[in-house]
Amino acid sequence: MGVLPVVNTYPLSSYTFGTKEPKMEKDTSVADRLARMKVNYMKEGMRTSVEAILLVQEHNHPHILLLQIGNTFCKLPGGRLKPGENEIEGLKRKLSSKLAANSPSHQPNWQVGECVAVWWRPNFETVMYPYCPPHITKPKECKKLFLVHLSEREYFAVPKNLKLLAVPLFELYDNVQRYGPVISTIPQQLSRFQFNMVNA
Amino acid sequence: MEPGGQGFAGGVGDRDGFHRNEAISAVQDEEQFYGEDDYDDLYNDVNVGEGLLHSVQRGDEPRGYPREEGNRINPAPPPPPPAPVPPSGNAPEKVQIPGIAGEPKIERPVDGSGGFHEQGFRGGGELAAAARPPAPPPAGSRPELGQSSGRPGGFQGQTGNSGYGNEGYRRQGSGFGGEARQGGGGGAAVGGGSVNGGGEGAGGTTLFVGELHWWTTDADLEAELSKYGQVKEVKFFDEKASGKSKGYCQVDFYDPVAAAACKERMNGHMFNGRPCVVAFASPGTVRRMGDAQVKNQQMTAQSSGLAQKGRGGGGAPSGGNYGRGGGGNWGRGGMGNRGPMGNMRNRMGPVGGRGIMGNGGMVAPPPPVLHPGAMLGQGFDPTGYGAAMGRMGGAYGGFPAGPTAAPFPGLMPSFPPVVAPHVNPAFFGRGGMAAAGVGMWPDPSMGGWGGEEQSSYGDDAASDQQYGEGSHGKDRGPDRDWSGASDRRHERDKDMGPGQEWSERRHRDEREMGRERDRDWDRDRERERERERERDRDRERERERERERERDRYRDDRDRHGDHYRHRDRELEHDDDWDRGRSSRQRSKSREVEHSKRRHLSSE
Repeated sequence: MGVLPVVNTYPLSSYTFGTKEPKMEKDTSVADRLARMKVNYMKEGMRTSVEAILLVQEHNHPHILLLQIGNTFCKLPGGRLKPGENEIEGLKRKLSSKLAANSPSHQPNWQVGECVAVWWRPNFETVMYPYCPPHITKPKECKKLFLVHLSEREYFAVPKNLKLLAVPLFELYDNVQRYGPVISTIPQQLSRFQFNMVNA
Repeated sequence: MEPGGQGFAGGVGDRDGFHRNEAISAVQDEEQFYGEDDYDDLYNDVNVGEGLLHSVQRGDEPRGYPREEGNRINPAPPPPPPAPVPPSGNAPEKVQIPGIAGEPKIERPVDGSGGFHEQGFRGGGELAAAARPPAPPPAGSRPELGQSSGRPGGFQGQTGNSGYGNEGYRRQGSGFGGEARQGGGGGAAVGGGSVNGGGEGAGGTTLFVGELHWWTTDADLEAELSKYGQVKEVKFFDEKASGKSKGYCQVDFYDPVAAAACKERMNGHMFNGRPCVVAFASPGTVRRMGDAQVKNQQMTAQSSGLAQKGRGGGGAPSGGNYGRGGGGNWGRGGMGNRGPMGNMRNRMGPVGGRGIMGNGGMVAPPPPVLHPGAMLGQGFDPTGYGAAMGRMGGAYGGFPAGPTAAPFPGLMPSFPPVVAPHVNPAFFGRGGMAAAGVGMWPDPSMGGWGGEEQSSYGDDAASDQQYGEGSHGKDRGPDRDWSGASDRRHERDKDMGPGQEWSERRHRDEREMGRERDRDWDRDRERERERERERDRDRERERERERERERDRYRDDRDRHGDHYRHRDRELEHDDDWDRGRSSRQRSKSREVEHSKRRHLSSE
């Protein structure tokens, strides 16, 4: 009792970052995105998306890797699952698509850990909640956040149009305006873990 | 009617004739309504069915509408005859609203403008609200539009009442052949008050369904709705902040006949033990009707205590805001706060620090979104700060490696760092530039601070440091009361707003340590610092301007991409979102306030 699960985190410097071809967003605007979501919903039903929380440590504090689009908008690496796809497999696929180098010899071995948060989208809107509102029986999307354990050395290739940032947890905490409700509450989801800060 | 008479009731002397528009406003409205012509004014902006206006405005007789104020759909006794019936002598025909589906009688214009479509009437919108015009005898009774328009809200919820049901409508007196027409047209739209007839005449397919529990699901509703026909869409309205249902929804059928049937038969149907209200509506009016419903519910539920709470909450809204929102932002904001804001102790302190860090960390310093109100709230107490600052400054100088750890030299570019207001910027050494004085706040993005450190999140500028820097308070002179500072500090602690407490305490502890050591030493340096502060303030101003520019740029970027996490507090692109957010935005603020208050209390 009272034993917290342990997560090993390594310093940012133990990872190597390269670049690869740009990975553009499929939608150019919010409206487009929601429209596409609606179309997909009609075809496939509720969308399930998976996102990964990748942690490194700096100064003995966990930092989360976020992809930054443009200058301000940050998102977690991950994406939509294909219909019927397994969550873990789908997440690995998305991680490789976003962050792994193209060459087959460098595929990271993603260790997908537990699911730490689930968010629901009740309507075709941008807002999500950590529960499905009681009057909604058909949510439009379910987003699951998984903790992914990185090994000590990894090579990441970041698409040219994105930046990969290591953001400290304290920066996310209570910072909804900048990161949105999903990302800004990650520190709370992770608070139950014990981080083993491995130094270089 | 004697518009003239009325008009002049309160009229100003210079009228030589009946100048409607010169009437005193209070009277003026009535005039308009009672005027023989010009129902246009009433209905101008309403999207009414074809013949409405024409039929309505027949110069001859203004109609009165009994207004069923407050007539709620739910089993209500027939509404009392509308009070404001103009004394024109016509008996306002009461609109009886027998029970729920009352059928108010409406009066039709004598000349049988036949074309009078209910909807059109409703277009009057306000009227729709509850009042159904009493049949004005051709005698020229005055329509009580005035009144009803005054109260559009009154009705909303009651759509049921709308019993207006088209069928219900009947004009009294004045023969109007419209009746038949009415019957025909009626089916379409009368939905309780839905004001806008738009398209209803032809057969409305949109219904407002309200008075639902927040746990009544879309599946429950659809199961029931499908009995009347094929449903195109059911759209629930929910609170943006929590996702909870507001208890009403908009239902679209493909077939207007189905819609009418549903409205007739499902009205009053029990969902989870509560009778619902069904009324014709148009997408725009659904929201209005829903708002009225919500308002009514709130009013009945509300007690004075609630009201007070709201008020109390108002007092600390800034605090609340700080607590929440994007610490980064306000950390900065706090700093940005110019001048001491009265006695608001800064609740933000800790957050500020964090914010700063964030900025530093961010590759692209986000534009401070704090809105002015919030910032103002910050106001830190200059005297408190000053004193603290003095001391802190010293402390800082004393040990650069102190609690805040970061050696100053490393930091600087943005000095004084923006820190929580309660932290004395002077603390951060550099000879007190921290003070940055009032209004000097370096740009919340903390200019230099953040800028420099873009690459490294894990920046050493300890958050403490940042905290300290921000506060600068106004640059109080050496005559500050140092001794009082510690007392004030304690007070400040108590005042701490939500969210600040934990970090504030941490910083406070650390600061204390430093302070003890350097108290005396600092006093000497204080004066020195004052001078430096002046210099720094100017620098800050420059930086601030730059940051403003950057911030604008970032804001644009964010707007483009930021939909994903568009927080409810932000502007939403979607119309729906915006509308929904509108009503709940207030709510989120009040939630924050309450939240902060709760935390505040618990900390004490």
